[in-house]
Amino acid sequence: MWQLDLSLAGLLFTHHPLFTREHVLAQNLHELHELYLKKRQMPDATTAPRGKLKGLEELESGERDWFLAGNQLGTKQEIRRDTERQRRGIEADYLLKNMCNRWTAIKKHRAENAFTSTTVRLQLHDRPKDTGGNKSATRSGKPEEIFATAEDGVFKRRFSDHLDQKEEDTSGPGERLKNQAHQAYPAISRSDLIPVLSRSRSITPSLSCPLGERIRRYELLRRKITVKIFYNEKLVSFSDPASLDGDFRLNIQQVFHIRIMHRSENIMLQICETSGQKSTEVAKVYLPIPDRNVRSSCTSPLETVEFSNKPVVQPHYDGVGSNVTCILNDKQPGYLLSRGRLTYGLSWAVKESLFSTAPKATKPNFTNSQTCQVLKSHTHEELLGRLSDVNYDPNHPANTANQGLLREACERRAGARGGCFHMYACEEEFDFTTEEDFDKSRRFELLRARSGRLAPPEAIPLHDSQIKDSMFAVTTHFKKEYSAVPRSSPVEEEEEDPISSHILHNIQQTQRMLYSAKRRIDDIRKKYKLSDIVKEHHGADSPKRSGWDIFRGLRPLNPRRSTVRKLVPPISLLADTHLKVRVTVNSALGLPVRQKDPLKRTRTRHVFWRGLPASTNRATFSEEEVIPEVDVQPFFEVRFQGITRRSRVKQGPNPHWKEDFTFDFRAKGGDYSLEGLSSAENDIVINMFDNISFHRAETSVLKGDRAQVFPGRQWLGSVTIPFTTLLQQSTVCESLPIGQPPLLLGYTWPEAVRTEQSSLEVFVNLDPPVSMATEPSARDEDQISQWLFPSDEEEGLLRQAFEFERQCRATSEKKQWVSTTVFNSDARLVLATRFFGPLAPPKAILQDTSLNSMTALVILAMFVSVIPTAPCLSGGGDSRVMWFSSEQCLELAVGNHTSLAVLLCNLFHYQRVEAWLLLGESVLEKETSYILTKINHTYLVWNPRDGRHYDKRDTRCPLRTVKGLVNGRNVWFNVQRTKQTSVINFDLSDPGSWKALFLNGSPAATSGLPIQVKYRPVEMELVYALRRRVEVKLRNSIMEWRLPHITRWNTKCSEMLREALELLERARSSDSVPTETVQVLETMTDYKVTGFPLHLPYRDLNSLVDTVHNTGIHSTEIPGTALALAVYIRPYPNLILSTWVFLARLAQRQ
Amino acid sequence: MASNNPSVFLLMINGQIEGGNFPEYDDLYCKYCFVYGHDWAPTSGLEEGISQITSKSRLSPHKLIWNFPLEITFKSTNPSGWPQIVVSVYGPDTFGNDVVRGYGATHIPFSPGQHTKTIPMFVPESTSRLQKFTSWLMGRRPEYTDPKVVAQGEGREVTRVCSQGFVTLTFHIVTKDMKKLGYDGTPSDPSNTLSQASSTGLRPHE
Repeated sequence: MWQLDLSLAGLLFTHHPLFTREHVLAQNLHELHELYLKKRQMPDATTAPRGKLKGLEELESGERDWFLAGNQLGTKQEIRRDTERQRRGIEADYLLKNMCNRWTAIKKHRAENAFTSTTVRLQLHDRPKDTGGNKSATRSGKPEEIFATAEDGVFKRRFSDHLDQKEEDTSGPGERLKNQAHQAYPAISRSDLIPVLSRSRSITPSLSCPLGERIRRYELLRRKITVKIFYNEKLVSFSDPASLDGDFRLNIQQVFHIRIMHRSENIMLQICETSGQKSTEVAKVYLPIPDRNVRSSCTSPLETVEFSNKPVVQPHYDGVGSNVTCILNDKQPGYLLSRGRLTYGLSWAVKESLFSTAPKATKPNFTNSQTCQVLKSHTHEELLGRLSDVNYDPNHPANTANQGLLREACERRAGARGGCFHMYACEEEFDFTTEEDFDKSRRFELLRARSGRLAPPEAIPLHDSQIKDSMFAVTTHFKKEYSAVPRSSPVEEEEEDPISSHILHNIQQTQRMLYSAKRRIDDIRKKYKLSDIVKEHHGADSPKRSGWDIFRGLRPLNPRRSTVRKLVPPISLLADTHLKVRVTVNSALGLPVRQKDPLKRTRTRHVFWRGLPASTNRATFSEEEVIPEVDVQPFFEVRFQGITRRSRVKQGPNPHWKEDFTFDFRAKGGDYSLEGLSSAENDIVINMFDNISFHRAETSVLKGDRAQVFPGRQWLGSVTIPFTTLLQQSTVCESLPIGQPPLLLGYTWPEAVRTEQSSLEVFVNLDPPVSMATEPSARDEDQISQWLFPSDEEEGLLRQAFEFERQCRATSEKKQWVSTTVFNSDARLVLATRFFGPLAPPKAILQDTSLNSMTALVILAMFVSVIPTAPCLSGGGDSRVMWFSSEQCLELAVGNHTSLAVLLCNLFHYQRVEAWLLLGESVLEKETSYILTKINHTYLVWNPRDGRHYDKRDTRCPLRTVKGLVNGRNVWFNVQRTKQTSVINFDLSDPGSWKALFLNGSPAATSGLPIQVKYRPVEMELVYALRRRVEVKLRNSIMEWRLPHITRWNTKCSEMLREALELLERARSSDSVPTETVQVLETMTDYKVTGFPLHLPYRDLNSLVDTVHNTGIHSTEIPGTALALAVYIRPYPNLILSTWVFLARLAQRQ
Repeated sequence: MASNNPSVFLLMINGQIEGGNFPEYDDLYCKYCFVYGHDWAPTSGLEEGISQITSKSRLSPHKLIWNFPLEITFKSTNPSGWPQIVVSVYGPDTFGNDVVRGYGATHIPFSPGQHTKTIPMFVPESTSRLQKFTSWLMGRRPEYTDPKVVAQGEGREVTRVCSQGFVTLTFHIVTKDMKKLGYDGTPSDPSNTLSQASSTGLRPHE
């Protein structure tokens, strides 16, 4: 550690763009004066010639004699020397004359301008005569001012006459000298005058200056000069900004102590000029590193360096500018560059021990050429030894040959990590840790996750030991949420089969795509709006209205009701236990009832079963015995965030509960942002069960009387309410259709109902009501900001689409609109119509059906419904307006909500069926998309997610309202007064009902080109392997869940169930399904079979297991019950797997 | 916690909001709050405060003196998100409505010692002349939804503001264990810094 002391004394500009003419002249005068002083200081410059002249004069008189004396040569030399001295004296005189000229010019200039801007003043002092001969001028007495400044004119005239005469004199040297001496002596010799330059003249005050000068001085005051100190190209310090004085002089007078660790390469001073905000570099000055003997203790000598720069500065504010032609008084143009002098002192500091802190003198570093010499003159081994000490530039082109050798040398040296390549002096400052340590640090991992919004915004402990694993659990939760990597649970360590991993990979890829696109959209959308930041009073847009309010009565008889706004607490203020979810289930309608033993009519030997009276104290049991009269004993379970609540058991197919449950909402990781709230795990699931448990009183000698309860339940169906629905409107008060399996073995619907569709009346709300529904005005602004998004569409089309949306909003009272532009997976804005075009389905699935037949459509709908959907990354319309193209859907075998509908629509198009994508609202999901088809004047509504279709008048249709229709040709917005699906008029040509985006069909905007998709066949072996794997997994899971109890599997039944599943898959038209299956199962004579098949897209094993667990098949503990399980997977091309799981419970008949 | 192996460093802030310079307004009061990063937590003291109303005196017609004390201690593991103090000044308008007169924010000084800071204040402007007129008439000047936005840079581009007066704060800063955690906020320590200017060279920015 050494220390350099740099003292900056001052700075003087010898030319500056803000110099006036007067300044230039004054500077000139200064320079001449300096020169003059220099000349005068030379030994005998002025006094010696006079003495010599005298001698010469004497010599001249006896010249001839001297000649004769033969001493000619010496004399000649003498003369030459004297002439030289005399010439100098003449130069000094000439300088004096020039100074007088300048001074006259300055005076003239001052007189012309009527103000003074420089302090310069020239006085000529008389030198007292040396009576004693050739004595130096230092002994001269007090100078007497003989020429007042006013008298300069006289002086000049006299002098110029004198001078002219002299210059005309061209006679021989001896003559001339004599002549001059003669003339000079009686006259007033210039050599006797000493010019004294002082800065004593006062400057005219600014107020009495003309405007230009005043502006110039003001400008000069505004400019601040700073000297920045760079040590090894690194800014170390800087002097205080200060402005120049009128003479362009700056006193800095600061001492900077620079502590250094690295040997200095250079010290650079950068002189900067700041004018207002603008800072310009005037010059860079490189200072030499002082010798190590130069120490601060001895008064370090001040040195002066000159600097200049050459940028062109046009003259302004009365300044003369820089590097431009400037005409001075003598009419000759000159170029003046900004230049100046800097005075500084640089020395090594001294420690207390009085030793210098300078670095020790080291061996001179090898330069590049020296390196080469070293290489030439030594053997290899010696070279390596010596080279390890070499400091040299590896990037120098001359050194490429030596590089390899050097590298080897460096590796030999212990701990040499590029140390010899001293490229940047400060590089080692950053080597505080290694890359590996950095990656290993848990704290930095958390910090990185937090800054990437993957971890909750919480404080992170400093030491790794304090970082608990739970923190990482939260992080992984976030990771799961955002990057959507479904991590296999620790139990699930077994190796993945190729299909599952492929599907998983696809899903992950899709979600990554979705996520990155969403991030990009969010980044643009997140831009703050004014209303986010500034609260402005909007209440009274017209002051008139508010003025009238004053005069209105205090208690008006007819109070005006203002619309009560929903209290929406800021999401950021929510915390655990603040948000509650209330679920009230009122009643269910049309539940299936237990089938009377299906075999009772055909098999007479079982007839006695029914007639048997229930006897509670008998050892034999069956449910019919306990409750023979009851059709069904329904109860339900509500599951939310892993908490399950069970309702009471009611009787009959139309039960009435009116039970409500309250759940505390807990956001994972305290993430109460909208994205966190709308994660898939937050969905409310209501499972409907039939209670088949019974209790049996046992009388035992040992235990006495007690009742033993055998719980049992049979899954009837479930309702899933997405949390996003709640977020969109904060209450759900609906009669929801219960999602039921395609076949419910052992159950039937009462003859009176005949709908085979049961519904559940629920009321769900959030407390406090959190709603994401943004205000329409804010949405308007959102739309405008959509122009910021990248798009390939033409500007005109986008404008048209925007205008259409705006008009839609204006016409509808609920400010609804259809999105005409959507994001594709690259987060680019695309017209919605671009996504449509006929798409050929895989050949395999439509082999035996004719085109345009209803069966083909049903099969296609089923095909689309088994494509897994990517979980919504965030609710609230964000991912809804992001569509995948149909190619992507099929390539990846993953879709999202709307893209599946688009895909189905495209498949329908290929079947030459008129089809539209229908945007509207359904009972369960608020904003949703369906497919509308028109076949033979009947309109059908298709749900692409489950493959069902409804007539538009069907009351069971979950679709409620229709907002708009989209297909490849156009976008239509529903402008009918009623939006109800059942009564809506689907005649698109009627402008009173539908408003079209393109009136005459713009060919530029529509597509309709066929979409080409390559279907890849699936290897059947892999599918079989997967089926076996799923089956084993499910079986093991069920046995695990039932653990204290033994699980008996009926393999024969399982075989039959599998056959039934195959039948189900093959026979898609739903009418023939039950009969055929029942026929299969009729062979099961010894058991009473109740069960159901599950049909779902294959996503991964865990989701299957979850679904099975959800049905509660395992929780039946009635003795003598056997289970049967069958899995069937029907592969479609591109690994789209239609998965069936049949779960059945067998009760043994006696 | 063993003192030789600390897990947090402490930043203790004492000081006061001395006063303001609002040539056009009188009868003003101020509020303050702190904005800090994720790794920071206040351990003691008040995070928010609201001062008394001060009127100008005849002797100093431009100065409003609050002398409102600040005292708070933060702990942190990370200098990122260093606390900032946000000061907002309110006062009555012509009709006696309470309107905002200025927002301003500054970082708490890094180095221990005494510091005086003068922060310029500004207020958001109305979007239009009509809006300006009505807001003046109704006594509802545009305000920030949250004063803490003045401590962050996001979203400023949509606002227009007008500068308005100054507020002077003094701080006395004490830090604990910063150096042990490897952070050095003091400029005069020779052991850690590579090259540094003495106090004549570097001066705190005003």
